[in-house]
Amino acid sequence: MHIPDGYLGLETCAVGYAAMIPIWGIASYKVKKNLKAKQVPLLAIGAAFSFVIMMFNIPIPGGTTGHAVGAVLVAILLGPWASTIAISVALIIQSLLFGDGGILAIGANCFNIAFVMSFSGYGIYKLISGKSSATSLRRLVAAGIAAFLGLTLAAFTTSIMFGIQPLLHQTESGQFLYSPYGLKIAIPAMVGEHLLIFGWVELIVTVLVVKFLQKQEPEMILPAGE
Amino acid sequence: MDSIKKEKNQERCLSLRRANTFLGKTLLDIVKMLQASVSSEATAAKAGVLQRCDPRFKLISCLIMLVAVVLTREIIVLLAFYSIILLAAIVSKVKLGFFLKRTLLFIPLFSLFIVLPAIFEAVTPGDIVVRLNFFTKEIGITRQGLLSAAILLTRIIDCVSLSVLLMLTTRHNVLLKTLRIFKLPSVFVMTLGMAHRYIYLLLEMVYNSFTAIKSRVGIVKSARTGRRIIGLHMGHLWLKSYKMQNQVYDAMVSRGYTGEPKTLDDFKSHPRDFFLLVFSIIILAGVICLNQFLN
Repeated sequence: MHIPDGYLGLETCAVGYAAMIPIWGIASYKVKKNLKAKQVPLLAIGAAFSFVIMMFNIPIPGGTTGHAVGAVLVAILLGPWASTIAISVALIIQSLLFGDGGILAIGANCFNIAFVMSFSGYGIYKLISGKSSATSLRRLVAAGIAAFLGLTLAAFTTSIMFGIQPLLHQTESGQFLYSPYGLKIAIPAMVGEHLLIFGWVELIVTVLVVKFLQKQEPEMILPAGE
Repeated sequence: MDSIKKEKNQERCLSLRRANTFLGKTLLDIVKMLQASVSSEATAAKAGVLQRCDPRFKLISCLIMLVAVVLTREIIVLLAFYSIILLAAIVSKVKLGFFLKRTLLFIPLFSLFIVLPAIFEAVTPGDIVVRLNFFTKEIGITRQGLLSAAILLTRIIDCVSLSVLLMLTTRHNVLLKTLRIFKLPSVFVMTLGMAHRYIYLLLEMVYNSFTAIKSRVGIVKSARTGRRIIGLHMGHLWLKSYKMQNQVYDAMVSRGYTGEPKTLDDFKSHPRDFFLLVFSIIILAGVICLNQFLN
């Protein structure tokens, strides 16, 4: 889901940054306000954790392996604003130091993965889990559904970014300049593969980790203040 | 009967081997990442042309060049860009074989598969160059589709090469420090620097525990067990990391942390840095002029 440079036109990359700059500003303000001084390293640890879980190869049916993103999991553990910062930091490091994802596309990638996935996943998690106890099955189901839908929504916004390229940038002779597939192809292709394969990987990983934490440290999966 | 048994055995062996690949693959990915990191740092320490440049100017010039590449619509200009990038890699003492392998293998190859269907008239209508018989149907490859695919692929190669060149010629911690010129919030700057260090620590933890599983357990019987192992590991890794925060905070306080992060500014610019910046601005201006002229 990391968009490399070259697929998106400059306007889309600029809109990605324009959308993310205020989000990063608000996230920094909220996190600074809510995080105790002793918890400052937690944000860095959260970013490193999300970077590392993206590297785990998870066995999926058919003998192959897939990767999880972990944004909803980090949002459940740290809250959506802190998750936005942690995942953004992981994406910036991946892009700048490991060439995974474009530098100009950092804004777009952070919008889809760090913001959309964290917030939508966290919202769904809170909505379904309600005021249930930390060890309840409802919370486990909520985490799974949130991870599945959060990733699918992130794939949807990514596919929109790809799909609008032929509409925005096409020459008179019909030559495409950036991502060649319109919305009719990009949305079903991206959303479809996430609904069928990667959404389930995300769901399984999130459920397993939440289940583990329910047994070990149940208060960790309760949103702040509950 | 024997052949059925043999077949079943073979199938079982295959599924066991498949179920185990996730351990080996993750270990291999970690080793590859660490190797890439070490070789990047070694290249960044060489006395090449780009290594001698101020990283702030290098980062801004790289961004300007990326913008120029993304704006370019002519394949010949994109090829010229690629020649400049290769030349820059050579004068920066980057091993060419390593550079080409790093830039051409993964993303451009993946992009080739993505872009391939777009050369057909069903996706990009236009002047038919070749007609192919696909079972009972005839499908045409268009000139517009071919040209567009070639431009997109060359642009992706240029972008990847530029990013990798920046990454190879700048020390990782310095590159992250350079981001301060964009006036990022202090929480961000500190998190970036600290997260970069923690990544290696967490990777080492994962590497050690996966090696232990491989050497002690031997085989993982099914994909389901494999997923359970991964889930338990992720949960355990989070708990371990979470519990580490107090020790990290104490270490920060003992080194003078008072609540506001302070970082040292040790960048020095030289005339050659301004030359690099002016060169990239001229290139960008040239691309903008060329686009207007062609329009």
